[in-house]
Amino acid sequence: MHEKGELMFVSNIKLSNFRNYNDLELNLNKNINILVGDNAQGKTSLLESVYVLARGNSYKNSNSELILWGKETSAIEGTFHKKNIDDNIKITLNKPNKTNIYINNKKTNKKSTLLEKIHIVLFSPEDLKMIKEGPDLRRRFIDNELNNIRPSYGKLLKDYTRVLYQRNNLLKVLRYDNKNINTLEIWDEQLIALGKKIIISRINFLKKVNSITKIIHSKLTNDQEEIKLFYISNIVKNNDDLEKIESIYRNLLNINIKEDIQKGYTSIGPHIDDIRVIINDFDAKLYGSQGQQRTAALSLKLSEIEIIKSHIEENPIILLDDVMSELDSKRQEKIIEFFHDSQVFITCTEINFENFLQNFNKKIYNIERGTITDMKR
Amino acid sequence: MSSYHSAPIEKLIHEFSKLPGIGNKSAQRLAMHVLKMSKDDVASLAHAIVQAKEKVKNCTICFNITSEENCRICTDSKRDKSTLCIVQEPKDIIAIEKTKDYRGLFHVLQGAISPMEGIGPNEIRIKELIVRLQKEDVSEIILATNPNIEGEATAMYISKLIKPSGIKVTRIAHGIPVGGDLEYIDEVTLSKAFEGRHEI
Repeated sequence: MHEKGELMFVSNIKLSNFRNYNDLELNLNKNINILVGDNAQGKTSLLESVYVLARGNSYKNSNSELILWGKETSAIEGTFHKKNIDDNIKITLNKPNKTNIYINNKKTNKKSTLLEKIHIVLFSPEDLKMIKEGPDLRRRFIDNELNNIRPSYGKLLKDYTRVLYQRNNLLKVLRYDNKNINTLEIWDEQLIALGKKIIISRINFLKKVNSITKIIHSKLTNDQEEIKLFYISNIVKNNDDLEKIESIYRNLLNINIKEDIQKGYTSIGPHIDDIRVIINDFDAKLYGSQGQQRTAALSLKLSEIEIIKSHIEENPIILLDDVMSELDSKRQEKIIEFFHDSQVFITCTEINFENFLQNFNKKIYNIERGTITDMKR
Repeated sequence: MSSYHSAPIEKLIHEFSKLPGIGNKSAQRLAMHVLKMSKDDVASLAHAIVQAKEKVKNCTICFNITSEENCRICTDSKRDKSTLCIVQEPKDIIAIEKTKDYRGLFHVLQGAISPMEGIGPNEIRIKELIVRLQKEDVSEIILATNPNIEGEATAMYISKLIKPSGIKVTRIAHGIPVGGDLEYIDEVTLSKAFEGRHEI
């Protein structure tokens, strides 16, 4: 959909004492990189190293756990390219807990500098559970996205969580001592002000996601399925409610106060909202087959990438960690097609999608006990 | 790390490391420095610490720190007694005093409302503020609590408490620091500043 995006890619990576890699230098392909090997050989670690290089931390291990066992420090270095700009990035990890970031040999302590420079999207088997599992995964999906394209959203969410935590603490005290009941409103007012912004941001963002997901999903299902996303809020039920969200919110907080004090927990607000996914007029979470749920999750995730692309006018680096084995060959093929104009890293135990790789620029790395051989196929 | 030292040094390092902003390494550096100091200097330092603790108390009017019954600001006859600025800590007074613009009096709350820490309105000096307002002739309250969740909550609480009395209640503005370049301001502060924009 966004063909004009610029390709961003990492051309080489150098690891020392990272996970199970002692010393490794590797040239990477501009497009598809396939890391193939049995379990526990180091393919995910290699993919993880690209993530750490781009973010300053891992998505699954603490930084000290990334250091090769028995060593005190570890380093990851690589060169990123976009348009005509090259950036050399180096991350050093030191025990017990010190991470240094160097951009073009200049030390910076801000991970946000990396976040602004390098765009990377991780896709893990967890993401495929988005439809099937509880609402927290779906909320996290939309919150992460919003945070990616609007930095102030993260602060909004953090403040909301803090107010909620304070209010819940107060509720727990009120259960046996109501002397401070008149302080409830100072938390409620902040909760309403912040919660309102979160709900409106999410609803507006979901409208955007909706239209993109619809196109992607019908492509993935060969026009067999139509997908629709609805934001389910216990405060805002329809467009009219949006106009008077504050008074509805305040009213609901008041109605629920007895119950909230009993539970020591705030029972309404964006922290328990959900996204309903409807496929061909039925609820995918309740009635969808596992295949349908996974495809719907895939559509959501791919639309996320589309939105990032259109926002930054650049194709982010894509990491697919053990995702391929979870999908049937038709979906695998669609994924490769979808990402052909991005740099992609794919980990897998076997390549059963080779036949449709023929037309693409690719490099296959065979990983066995921390050593890597290029495979010419 | 501390087992490398003999017991008295270990104790000193431990005491230093309890101080705010002092990690284990800094505590060790300070302890080693103390050992290098002359005996007179060490005694003078220890004496100063004890003296400060013994002599310094809270002003009985505003709860600022002072070595007298009342603080320098409360006893200054040139200050404008009709304006009261509410702050969380004595150090906030120092920050505001440095501006040399504010000529009114202060009231130190000694904290902010925070249920997670078990701090309600009764745990900070709000009752004392109300008593002050009844005794003194105050026409404006300036709420200068911190611009975070707890500071805002505390400001809101005090404002709701005082407004019915007819006293003017104001909140300090937040936004862009003066003398800075817009491009260097973080997005959160900048969007707050937009929210709080005013007509000129």
